[in-house]
Amino acid sequence: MLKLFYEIFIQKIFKKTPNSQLTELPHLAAELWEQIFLRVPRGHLRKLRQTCHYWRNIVDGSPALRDRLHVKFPHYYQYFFENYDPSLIPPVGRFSFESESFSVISDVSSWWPKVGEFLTVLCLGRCEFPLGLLRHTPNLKKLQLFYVKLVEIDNPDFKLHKVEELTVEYVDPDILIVLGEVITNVKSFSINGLVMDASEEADEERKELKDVIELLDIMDSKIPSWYPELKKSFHRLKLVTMNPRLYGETIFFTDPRIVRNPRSVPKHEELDMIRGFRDISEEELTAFVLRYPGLKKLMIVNCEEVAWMHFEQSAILTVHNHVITRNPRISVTHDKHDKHKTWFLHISNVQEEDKGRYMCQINTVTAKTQFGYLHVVDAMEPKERALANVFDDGNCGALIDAPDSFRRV
Amino acid sequence: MSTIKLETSDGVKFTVKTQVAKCSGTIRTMLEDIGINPQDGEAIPLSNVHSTILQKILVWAEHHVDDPEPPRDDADAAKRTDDICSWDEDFLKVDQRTLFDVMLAANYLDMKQLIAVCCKTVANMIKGKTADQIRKTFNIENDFPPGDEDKIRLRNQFCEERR
Repeated sequence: MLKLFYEIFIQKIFKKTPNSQLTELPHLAAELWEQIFLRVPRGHLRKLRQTCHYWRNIVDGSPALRDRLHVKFPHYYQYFFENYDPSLIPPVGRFSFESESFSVISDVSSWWPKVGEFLTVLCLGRCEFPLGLLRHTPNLKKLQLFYVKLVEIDNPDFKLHKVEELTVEYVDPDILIVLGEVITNVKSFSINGLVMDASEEADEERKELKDVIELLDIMDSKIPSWYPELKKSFHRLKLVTMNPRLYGETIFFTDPRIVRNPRSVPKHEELDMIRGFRDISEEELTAFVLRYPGLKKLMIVNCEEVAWMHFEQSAILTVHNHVITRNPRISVTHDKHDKHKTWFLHISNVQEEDKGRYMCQINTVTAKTQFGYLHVVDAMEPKERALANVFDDGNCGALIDAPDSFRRV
Repeated sequence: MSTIKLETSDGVKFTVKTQVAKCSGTIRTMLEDIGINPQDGEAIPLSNVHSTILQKILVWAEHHVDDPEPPRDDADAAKRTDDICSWDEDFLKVDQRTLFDVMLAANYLDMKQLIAVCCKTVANMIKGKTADQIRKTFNIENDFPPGDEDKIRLRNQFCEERR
């Protein structure tokens, strides 16, 4: 039967006049065209849509292709945003609007649902909008809000299950609680500022750091009062950013997408780096960060903090009383009442890989360091541990306690 | 070396090394999962593939039979179109009809690498062309009403493709 069809098909094709080459080409299924279009370099999608209805429908129907299209309202188009006509644009995956001055988006229900349906990335800035706006974006994967005020936030009756990445800057913490109810599966979450601070200086800073700061651990000593509430809302919350200031604060950068020119520099998968200067400038930091496109974690620590590092592995183990390394066998203790202010690094269940030079550093302007060498003689004795101390009053003096398994060098 | 027989839509029978035939996901599934026994001497019917196209595809499969499995979901590799090996490039220097037939057959036979290389070839034919030139290349009829293109240009004023 199929064979017959095929022959009829062939006959039909050959009967056509040579002028009508169109029908000579076998009809490719939409999925094959989609595969082809995905391999056409970026910048061609509009042309593909303009070719014929069939192709246009393929582009519009493909989430992967739609995701390449971005509607970006120029900041001066606030009026246009409110009186927008969705028939003016193709379905797109990405949408952003940043108002020049704070604007109030009140009623966009006439067109927003048609646009929202396809969105995977939404970025809104400097505006007030009703929370209900997000009801129409069920496919959203990434949400970015800055200087945004949400209204009509009581009892949201919808959820955004697909949002994985949430970035907020300069929003009211109340909004976060509401978003936490709505967004159920967030994987990464960043806040680059907590205060609705519209001063010029803050804005400058935001621009400078937007590309750099992505995620920042809250240090437990600085957890704001609303954090437990927030954590309740975001039950998978792992990373939160706070306070973008670089001066004298402890911050962690944990995202590699700081890349501006990724191909010109050697790749460092994960580089831990410690800086102890109180007055590190943004330029300095940016310049540094740009050299390491693979950077996942950069720390800038407060001057007074004591850090332990594994020298050969150039890995930061602990800073102050925080364990930085992912190695679960590492811990740090410090007795506040001890007049020597001793900082102990503990390695439990010591293994061969733990051997090497350990550095303890106090991050004063001229960093004070002390080294100790750990030899692993018998890795079969898991109960032993290495002890070392350093004084954080500036008098660096480390000694490494050497139980049976270890020998100080 | 075990062989199997394949029968094309026009009734031509091919005797093919099993290993080569297994480049096709469809045939592999038939042999391994459904349990068709090729020793019976019975030919596997490929009712969607013409003998001229199968012949071509078998040449490709013979050449690529020892290729390592491609890395899965390598997004960057998939987007590149300049990594077609010169053998494939020569192989696909055919008229468009044949190229499309090969692609359709590769799709039917589930040969991902061949589909990919065909898609890349067609993508390269689209690259750098205007809508008009694209239509000419593939002889597509412009089925938009006159003036529609201008409207589209207007429509796209805030819409840009991410690079």
